[in-house]
Amino acid sequence: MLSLTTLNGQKFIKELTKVQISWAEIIIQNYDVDHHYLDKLINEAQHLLLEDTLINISKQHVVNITMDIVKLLEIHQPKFKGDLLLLANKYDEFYEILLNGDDLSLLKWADKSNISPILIGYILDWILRPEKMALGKIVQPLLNDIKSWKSNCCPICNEPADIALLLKENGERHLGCSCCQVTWRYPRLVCAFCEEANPENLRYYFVEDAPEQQIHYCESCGNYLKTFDYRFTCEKPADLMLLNYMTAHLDVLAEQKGLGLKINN
Amino acid sequence: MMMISRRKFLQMLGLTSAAAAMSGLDFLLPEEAEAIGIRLTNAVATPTICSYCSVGCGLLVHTSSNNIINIEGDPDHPISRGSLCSKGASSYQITNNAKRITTPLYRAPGTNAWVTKDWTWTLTEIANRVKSTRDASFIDIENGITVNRTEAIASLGGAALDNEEAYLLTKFMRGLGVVYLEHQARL
Repeated sequence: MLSLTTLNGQKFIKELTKVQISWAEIIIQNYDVDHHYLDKLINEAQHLLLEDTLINISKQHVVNITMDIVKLLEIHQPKFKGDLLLLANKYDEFYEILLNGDDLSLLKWADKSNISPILIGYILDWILRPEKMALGKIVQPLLNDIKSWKSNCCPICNEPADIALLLKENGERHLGCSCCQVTWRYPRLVCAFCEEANPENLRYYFVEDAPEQQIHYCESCGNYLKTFDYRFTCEKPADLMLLNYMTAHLDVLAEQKGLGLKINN
Repeated sequence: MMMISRRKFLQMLGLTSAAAAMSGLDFLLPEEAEAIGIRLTNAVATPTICSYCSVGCGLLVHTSSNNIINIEGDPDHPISRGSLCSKGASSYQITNNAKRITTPLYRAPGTNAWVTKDWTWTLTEIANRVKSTRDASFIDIENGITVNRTEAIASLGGAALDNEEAYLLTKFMRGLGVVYLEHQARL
């Protein structure tokens, strides 16, 4: 697969995903799934994480996941060694804000603590991911029907899709949330951000040497969505987060074309 | 637990996805300039209906610089849901086909050779033959009843005709007295 992502970066994401999957499995084991209730939420177009009673993760759980992630970062991302050392001295403050604070207070805390806010952003994303993946795994079977989930936002976290797949069988488009690891059917010729439906305003770029890699964009809102067309390749659908990072060059190219200035809403 | 995401966090930092990918973790090769070397082609997909039979399957016609580069079944079309028959699936060849005949060809009776003709000659010849056949075979009265018809000409319409074309064709044939009006749309 054409990618400018380093082998070390790919290895890191693979190992990170492995750790997150194992945590997601633990969360699922401890979660008494009420399929009827989930079905009802999906049918009522309610985003699951807004229902904060669905899954409750203990502080110990968060601590354990954080330790796993930091361990992987130390091995694979030496660039952040200094930031990780600073973080190690302030874990209590970090957990306190994480569990009881808000986004702005976390940003201010990172700034005050001289820890890279980008790193904190990534760690935050990865800590929350097992919970989202657990919910995603449980509800994915409910999402395959186009009538079940019509929104352009992830049914779990309510974020706009950050990747799309065109399926091998008949070219159906499935939007994906690489964090929650769920996909759901969405029309091909409707913008996944502003719902523009005039096909003249919905264009795309494809990489000439790898036509499965595409950048679909909307001339109305200027947003873009990285799209992977599995009809051009014999590869199986990959882990969405890995796919997202491995196609980071498409983000660079899209930006060079003046797209995505609204950074996915 | 707070439900903040990295994307929202990046927004607060004023960063785009690409900038975050490049300035953040060790994901892109150092020579990011390589990305500039990747060649992109711009295209657009336009929905339309297959030109063959009356089923009316949905197509997506992909064009780049006004050239058709691909035609596929429309997965969101309520009738066909992305499926196409072998003819529909080869719709691309309607416009891009070196073997496609682009001028009228005429084979005179008793010969085995096709001769290229221009449209003026062809349409005039068709008009002359329709007129002479119709005049020679026209029945105005049969068994004392006015019928005004010819049974020597038949018209076979196609599912690719739109409503207006089908209306005009029917009017024209009725005007000539043609009674064998058929179409293949119920195939």
